[in-house]
Amino acid sequence: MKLPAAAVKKVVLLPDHAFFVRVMPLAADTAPEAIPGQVELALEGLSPFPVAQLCYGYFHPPGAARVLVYAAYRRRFTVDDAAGWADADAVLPAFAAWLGLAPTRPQALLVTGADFLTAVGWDGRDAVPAVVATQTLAAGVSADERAAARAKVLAPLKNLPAPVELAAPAGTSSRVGDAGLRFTAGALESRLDASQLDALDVRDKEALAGRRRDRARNLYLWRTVTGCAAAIVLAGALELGLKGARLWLDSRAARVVAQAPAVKEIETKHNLATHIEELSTRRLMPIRMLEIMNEKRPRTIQFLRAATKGLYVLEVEGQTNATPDVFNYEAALRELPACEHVALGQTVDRGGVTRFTLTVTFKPQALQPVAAKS
Amino acid sequence: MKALFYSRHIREKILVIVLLAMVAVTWLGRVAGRGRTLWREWRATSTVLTTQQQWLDNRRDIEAAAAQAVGRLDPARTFSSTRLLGELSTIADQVGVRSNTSSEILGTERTNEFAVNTVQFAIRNADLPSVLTFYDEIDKRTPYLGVEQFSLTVNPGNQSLLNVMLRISSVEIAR
Repeated sequence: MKLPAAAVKKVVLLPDHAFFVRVMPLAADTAPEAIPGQVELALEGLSPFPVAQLCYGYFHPPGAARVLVYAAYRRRFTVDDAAGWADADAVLPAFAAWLGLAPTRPQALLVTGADFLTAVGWDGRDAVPAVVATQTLAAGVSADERAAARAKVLAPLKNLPAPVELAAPAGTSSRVGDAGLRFTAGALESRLDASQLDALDVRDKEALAGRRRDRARNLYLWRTVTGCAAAIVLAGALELGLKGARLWLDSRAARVVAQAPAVKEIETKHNLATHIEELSTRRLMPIRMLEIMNEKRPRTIQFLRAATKGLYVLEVEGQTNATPDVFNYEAALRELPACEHVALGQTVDRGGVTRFTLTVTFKPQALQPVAAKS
Repeated sequence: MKALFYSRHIREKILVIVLLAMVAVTWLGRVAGRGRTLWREWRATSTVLTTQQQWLDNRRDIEAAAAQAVGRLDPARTFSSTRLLGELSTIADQVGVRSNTSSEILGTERTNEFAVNTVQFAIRNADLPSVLTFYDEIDKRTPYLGVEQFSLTVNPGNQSLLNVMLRISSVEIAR
């Protein structure tokens, strides 16, 4: 699959000789967010042109006590040059591509470009180069002139190890992370992350801020896309899981169905066995219940209806023309040892006749069949 | 994929996100709904299976209890539903209330070895002694017959007469 154009990082590497380069010390307590302001102040002092007319950048790895600043007069680049920068991922001086080497011990590089030689030297104090020196090479330069330029450019590196010689990198590089870049030459690898590239880039700072915002928005949108994609994958996985679970559940349901006749048989057997057992031991004894209730019945009370509610409950509907007898009867029933609970239900008095309902719960032992009692 | 996405216009990016989000939300919603249904079914099935297993685990005890309960009975004295109705009619005849009765078979619960038959039997306009005699006759046939429900009402026209409604069950042992 061929990746779209955006997959290839386009880096515009400007000739080193277009820039003047300085290494400036920083106060120990300089906050990272104050560095761009300090760089601009320094450039105003160093340059005869206003900062707005400069293409500039800087390199300051976290914790470094120095900052490398470089700038070029904007008009050194043509409108056509600048037009090609718009779609570039980074626009840097060629030597800046190697700043990501960040060696921890003294090291020197001699970078050869089409029309320049640049020497970069690190003294090992931090990742900021101590020396960046450039010499322009005119077209058709002779070997002697080239050697002289080389000697001149290497002169500031005399206290450093012998320089590693390499060609200026091409204008493309590999991607690293979301917006980082990687330049390689032999065993050397320079990695620059997005925040370093923002500082190194020489384009208009407001435009760069806009690009950063776009980058952040793209990142946010991409994360949303990946989140949605993850949710879809999760839904797919859950769908498969549900299908598996459905099969499993179906097998359980089939087991329920398969077992149902046997269980029904056992259940029926149990119910009937209990029923048969109850016919012998827990018989319904309505006549005995009526006898017990009749013991305390006042002569004024007549029973009109009696119905059992389960084995031990009898509901009796009665009437009387002596209303107080209803309550006396209820109280008398409560005192009977055979009665567990007595409830007087609806009581209606009409035409001097009171009709009432009594629900009496008997104690099981009071209703034991004679044989069972013995 | 990421580079392809980055290279698209913002409107295309948002459209892709909206489409993916709609698919994700819809699909996840449906999956969640089906998951809840499945979970409820699983719980219901689990409950049924647990109950079934309890019955199956107690099978031997239940069968032993059933055999013990049935073992105490003489199969020759047990009543099928038809025989139960006949027996009740005979008792009613003996008591002298045969003409005032009605009956209905309510149902039979049956296993391979035995069954319990239930009938509803009504006696109308009977005096108290007849009712008591009828009840005593049924009581004598215990445990082959048993009264499950009893309702007695005084006749509104003649308070010396009673209406009785009985639900009676009988044991039937397969011979």
